[in-house]
Amino acid sequence: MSASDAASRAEHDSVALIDLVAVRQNVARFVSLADGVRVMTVVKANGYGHGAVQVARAALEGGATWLGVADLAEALELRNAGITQPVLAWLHETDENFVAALEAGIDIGVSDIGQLASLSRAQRLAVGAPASVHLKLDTGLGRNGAGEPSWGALFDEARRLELAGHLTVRGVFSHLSNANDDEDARQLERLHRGIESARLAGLQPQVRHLASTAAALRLPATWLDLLRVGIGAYGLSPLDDVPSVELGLRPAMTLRSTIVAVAPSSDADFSARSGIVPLGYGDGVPPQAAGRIHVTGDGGRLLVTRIESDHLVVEPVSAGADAARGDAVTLFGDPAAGVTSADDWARAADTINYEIVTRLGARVPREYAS
Amino acid sequence: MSALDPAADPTPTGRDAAIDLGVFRTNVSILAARAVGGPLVIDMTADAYGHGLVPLARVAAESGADILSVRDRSDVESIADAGISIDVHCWHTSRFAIPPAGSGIAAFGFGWELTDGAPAGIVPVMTLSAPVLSVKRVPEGHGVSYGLVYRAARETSLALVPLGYADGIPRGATGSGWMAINGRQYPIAGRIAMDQVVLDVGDAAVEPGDRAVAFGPGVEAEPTAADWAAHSASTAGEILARIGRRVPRRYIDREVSR
Repeated sequence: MSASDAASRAEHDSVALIDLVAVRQNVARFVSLADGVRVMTVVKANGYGHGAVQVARAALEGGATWLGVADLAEALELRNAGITQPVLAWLHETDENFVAALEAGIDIGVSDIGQLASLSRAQRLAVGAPASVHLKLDTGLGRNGAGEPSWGALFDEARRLELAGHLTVRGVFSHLSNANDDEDARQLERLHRGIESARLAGLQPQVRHLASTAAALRLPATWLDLLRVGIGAYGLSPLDDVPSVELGLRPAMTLRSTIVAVAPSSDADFSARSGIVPLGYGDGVPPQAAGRIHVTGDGGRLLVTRIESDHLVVEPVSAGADAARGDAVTLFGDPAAGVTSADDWARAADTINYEIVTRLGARVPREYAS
Repeated sequence: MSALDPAADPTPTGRDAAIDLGVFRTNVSILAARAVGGPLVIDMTADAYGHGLVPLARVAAESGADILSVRDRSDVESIADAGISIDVHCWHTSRFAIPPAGSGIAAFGFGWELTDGAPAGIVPVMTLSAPVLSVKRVPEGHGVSYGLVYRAARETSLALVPLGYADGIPRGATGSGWMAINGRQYPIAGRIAMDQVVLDVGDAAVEPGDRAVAFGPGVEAEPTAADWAAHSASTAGEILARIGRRVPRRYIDREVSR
């Protein structure tokens, strides 16, 4: 074997297969559900680990008309890939330099007056149309967004800059806690109050948005003008007690690897062997799941007994099962295909499916099926 | 401008993983002095536990390490392509393809898992920080983050920090994690989210732009990676290895006197 063959083998013993057909269908499911309300697909954090640009393109094909990201670097990554549709970014540094973002036509989520001032400065330096702004209101989540006592001043300053030709307030938005229906209803009521106050200040926001995946599925009153769909686009459920399939969604990511070596089993009852799989916590596999999660190999069901920095160890769980060198192993994928799910990993690691896919490391190659 | 010249290094304004090659050099030297009668093997798997393989491999080679241990053949090539001359063992493509027993991550500043800690003089190499994006005054009872599992015990200020589980802050540390700002410790309020956490800073004079230190050597009130491991049923190695791609690594080289 040549060195390059060896390198190739090492690189491709593990792969995250990303099913872009599933992304398209999942997004289309929300477009159909929304019945005329527009859909934004959220591709922050490298598309929840799936690949931001590839997911963005599939989402647009599925009927999304907006893309959402956290920061400007993520927004510019989409533009640099040639994506021209509306992109909203809402998490900014103090004294953020918005010039490149404005020239790239990124919509800016604004949480305070300081950001309006930064935008106004950038607008004078940038070539292009006035900044397109979505004012973010904190209606109860306590993260970013303007708190209610500061809404009046924020709206007045935004209107002043709008009249000066520096910006246009295109949207007003907020984010739900999903704590319970009563809390979500209170947040919706506060957002309506904020929008009314913005209108009284002379603003005319056309795009009002609040719902992310959970509210898109459960609370039509929160849909307003736009749904922000993140986890659902990837085919995963935001609801603890409802699996993807019951929501009409299909998980897009399948994580596969290979047993590259075998060693004597620690379990004397079966004369089985344990297998070494070259994926570890350095690749994003959560070590908390060791001893608590089964995966599917060519030779049957396998218990993951240890998770180290660069590999994990699996052992057959029944006398009929085996772990042999070269066997393919599916760590997680679409449970409808009979394999372990990201939800299973989340339960085993005491977390949520979002963290399982988002933290998959950059060293695991992504392969796209479209 | 040299990436290794701290004077020429711009002050970071965003998320930042500062990796102190001077500290790493001293750690390796301490281990080399103890490795009497056998080669000093440094575990460089998982991109040198998130520190960046090539810069760390160069310092290790210069500071007394005999062998570097990696998983992938491509890691061996990266080290060779950088002109670094040292033995690199790659278990994955070796004849037996069995990973070596954990040699520990003392070179990165942390003790062996099942023993009573790192050798004397060993110091953590990486410091993870981010700017406070906003500070917001909220009344007693105000909820914070998903599920509103946190409620302000009294009127307080909430500081937003753009480090979440996508960046490597373990979501499992919700309810116990904390960070330091200006040498004081503040608890994370509510659930750790994908892109951000909120700190309850009480009545402290915390301003947007102040740096929140998620972990470091633990000398200026900030937690260490081992603290995060304790909060999330994990190990310091995992905390370091899983720092995400949105966090740029910045190499500094401070004089170390111990």
